[in-house]
Amino acid sequence: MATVKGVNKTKIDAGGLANKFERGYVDGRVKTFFDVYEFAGEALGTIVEVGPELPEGAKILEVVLSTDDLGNNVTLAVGDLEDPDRYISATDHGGGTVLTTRLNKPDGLGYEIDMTTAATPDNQITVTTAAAAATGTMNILVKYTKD
Amino acid sequence: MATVKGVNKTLIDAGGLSNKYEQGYLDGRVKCFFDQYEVSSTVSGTVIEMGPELPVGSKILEVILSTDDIGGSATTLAVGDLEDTDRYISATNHGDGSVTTRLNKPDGLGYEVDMTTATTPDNQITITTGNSTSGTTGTINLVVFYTKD
Repeated sequence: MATVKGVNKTKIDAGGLANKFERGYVDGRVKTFFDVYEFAGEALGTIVEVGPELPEGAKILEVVLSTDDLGNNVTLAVGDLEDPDRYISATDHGGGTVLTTRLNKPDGLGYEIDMTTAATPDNQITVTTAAAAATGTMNILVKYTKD
Repeated sequence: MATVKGVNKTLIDAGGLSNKYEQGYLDGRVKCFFDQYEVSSTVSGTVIEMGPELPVGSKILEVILSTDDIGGSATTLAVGDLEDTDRYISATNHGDGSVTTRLNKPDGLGYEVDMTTATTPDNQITITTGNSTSGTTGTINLVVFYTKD
């Protein structure tokens, strides 16, 4: 048995809290946005932009997607204009029941908005449909930190 | 059918908002920390210290652990502290696919860091590996939400 340390913990122990590697990653103030969209038969492949364009440096902490039964086994993925499923992989939200899914991609937890590619901005959160058309209400909540 | 009240709701109804029993349990400002660890041939029983030592009085609101498939024949991860190794997330298999787990222990939700035992501090969040861990590799990401007003 051994005791090891996370990247952040290592830096803190080496140089105190001021040595943390990114503002917001320690003692960060949590912010949120909420958005809602009413699907009315939009075709598969629809990209729903939700919420504001996040500031560069924002770090994503949690994503909660809660919907009606959108019908026809339509799937929803949550990501951004650079990676459509950065936060939640494509999940069946049309399987006959209301459903709530949450952030489930390791690379999405703690992801920092960097805007490295202007043509595909990662500061715009998106929900992308697949497999079928969607009908019903979609609610989304995003928690992030930006200090 | 009946309507009953939580402990906090009961106090508020009896004496107003100022009657709340602990700062931070109501109208609390949410804070967070993030930390990451790269697993590499980590043996079973390894304790990974994550994030800062939290101030006494901090209340834990949520813990999210999201990892690659870290392999090692069904390697488990538990999240707790140096006093209780699985106070927040019970040992869960993170070695058979990419998995995201969240706080799932009732006593962990709203737990207040108290530092009652100096030799086993509860202000240091830890991840403890279990089961067979030979050949583990991959990234562990952890976010903790807490309040301290």
